[in-house]
Amino acid sequence: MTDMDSLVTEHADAVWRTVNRVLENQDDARECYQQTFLDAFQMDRDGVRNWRSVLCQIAFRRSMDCLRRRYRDRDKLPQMAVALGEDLPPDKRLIQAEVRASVRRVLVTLPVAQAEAFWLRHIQQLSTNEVAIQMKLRPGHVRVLIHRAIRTLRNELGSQYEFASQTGNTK
Amino acid sequence: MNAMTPEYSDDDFAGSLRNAFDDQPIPPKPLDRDVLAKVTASTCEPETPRPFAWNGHSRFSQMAALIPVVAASLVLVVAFWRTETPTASNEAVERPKNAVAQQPIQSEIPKQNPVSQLPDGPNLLQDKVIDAEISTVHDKSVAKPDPQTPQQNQESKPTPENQEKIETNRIQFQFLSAKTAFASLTNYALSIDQLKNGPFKDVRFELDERTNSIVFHSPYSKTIEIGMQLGRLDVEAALDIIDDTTVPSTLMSAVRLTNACVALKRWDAIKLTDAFQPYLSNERNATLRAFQSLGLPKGVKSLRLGPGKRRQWLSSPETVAYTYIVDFPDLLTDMKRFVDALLGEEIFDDMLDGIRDDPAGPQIDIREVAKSMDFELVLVAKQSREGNRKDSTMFAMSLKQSAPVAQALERVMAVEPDSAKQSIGGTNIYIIQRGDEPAKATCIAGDCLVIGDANLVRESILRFDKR
Repeated sequence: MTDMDSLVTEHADAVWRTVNRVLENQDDARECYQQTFLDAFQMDRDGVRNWRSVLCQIAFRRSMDCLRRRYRDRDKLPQMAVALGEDLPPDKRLIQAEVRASVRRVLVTLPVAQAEAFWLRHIQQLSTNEVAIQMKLRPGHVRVLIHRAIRTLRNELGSQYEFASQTGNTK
Repeated sequence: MNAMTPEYSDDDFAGSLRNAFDDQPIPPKPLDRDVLAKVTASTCEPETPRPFAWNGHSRFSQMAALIPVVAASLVLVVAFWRTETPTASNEAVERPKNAVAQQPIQSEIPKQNPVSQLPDGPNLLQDKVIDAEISTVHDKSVAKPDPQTPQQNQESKPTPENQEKIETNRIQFQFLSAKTAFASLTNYALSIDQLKNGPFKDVRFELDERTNSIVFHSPYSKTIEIGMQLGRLDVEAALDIIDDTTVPSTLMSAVRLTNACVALKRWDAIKLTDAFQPYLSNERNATLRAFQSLGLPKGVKSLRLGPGKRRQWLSSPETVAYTYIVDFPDLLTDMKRFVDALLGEEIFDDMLDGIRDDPAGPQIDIREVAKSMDFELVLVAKQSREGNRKDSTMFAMSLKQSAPVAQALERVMAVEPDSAKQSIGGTNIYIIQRGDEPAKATCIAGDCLVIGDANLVRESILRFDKR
């Protein structure tokens, strides 16, 4: 049996980072953070070999659920209380916040597997093989999912990306 | 290049998005102990691993069904790209001053293929042309030819009644000795039986001594036929007729690719772009990368004009047919390079595995099906007479064994929601009607797998039935 306290201690950072990045709102992030561990503790824990993967997967999906609720109830859109990239000039921070909001808006429209594969590969910067292990899919399938996600993101955000690139946010 | 076309890669794009998410991690707060005591009904079930999901509208299913057609498309590409190794005598001739320096042809790993030992098909001007340039522009002011009076078409002038009813190309081939080439071309056009319905139907050509060139006026599909006939020309510079922008002439392969893309787009025979659209979008770079990956496929060679005596039923006086020799297993290898380069990932094998293993799909092994293909592929085209509507096209691939291919076809069609089975004589035809698109059809007739526009397939099967 896995010890709950050690699980939380060991993986809290990864879970928090995931929900925080996806949601960018302290209250929502905290709710999903707690919900992730609640979900995990209800699972059959004997069969779990990689708790970090499982917890991050649950965290991401909980966060996406939360995002969907957020976009469904647009009048209740929270203020983005978490200031990412605080070392940047204000104008770039604004642009980045806009990009993040746009990415979230598109991600919630994607099939969850596509969104998750994209997120893990390109935002969390895991390797394709690591994503495949985490998602319990074959690497080839993961690549297809990521490719599809990027197609959609490019279609939806292409013009916004052009704007961002002119302002120096590209690689 | 189109200014609106994104020129950055997927990785650049994703990297840019990731930059926006760069953050300083905030230390997590401890979990509320009372939360841990709660019991919620929700449980997150990880998604069951499954290979490529199959559904009738899945692009993968379309790609699977279109694999023979995509293979056939390569034939078109090759036909349009064919180049001739200069002979010693040709090399000795001084190049014209305005000719662009020739770049070496980028080819993939050379393969020994017995197909390459077979004789070529008709090769117009092979011995006459030293060098050439091609420029292509829209020309909408050419009179629509009257099929009843072909002789008058040579002198027909545009009038308000017939002007702009047909969209044509003006192609200028520049020669070192245009007079010789023109004489050869004229002799060829006059000598062939297919003058009325062959490659020069609806095509006007004239000698321009001032620029030492031959100018063709032709519909788009005929442009490609001319390209095939003049396939040995090494095209060094071209204008992109899609958006009228110049492709840098230093990019030899890019020029070839542009021509091939334009040819495919206008020929519209295989709907390559449509089949791959979700993956490549309209990105020119991706298309270029994909075509560059092809190099020059070795498994294809032109055989003859026409379908051959045994398969006369495939063509009619209204159609034009070409026969190619194709090594399908080799072509599958080329397709792997093509698809992987197109998508920027090595997923072609995974796709084939998914098509084979997905319990919701047709569960066919494309690699095995390819082994049942024989070596002849007949391309049949019928020009549309309705303004700018695309031409009808059809492919017939000869089979070594009909049974495995018939079985595979049946399985594909069983999971294709838009297909309907019809019977003409003793032949079962599958008609595929997707939305408002022109209906497609496929069937096995004789020793051929036939696939293409439904009207052409039906007409062919009627002729096949009456033999």
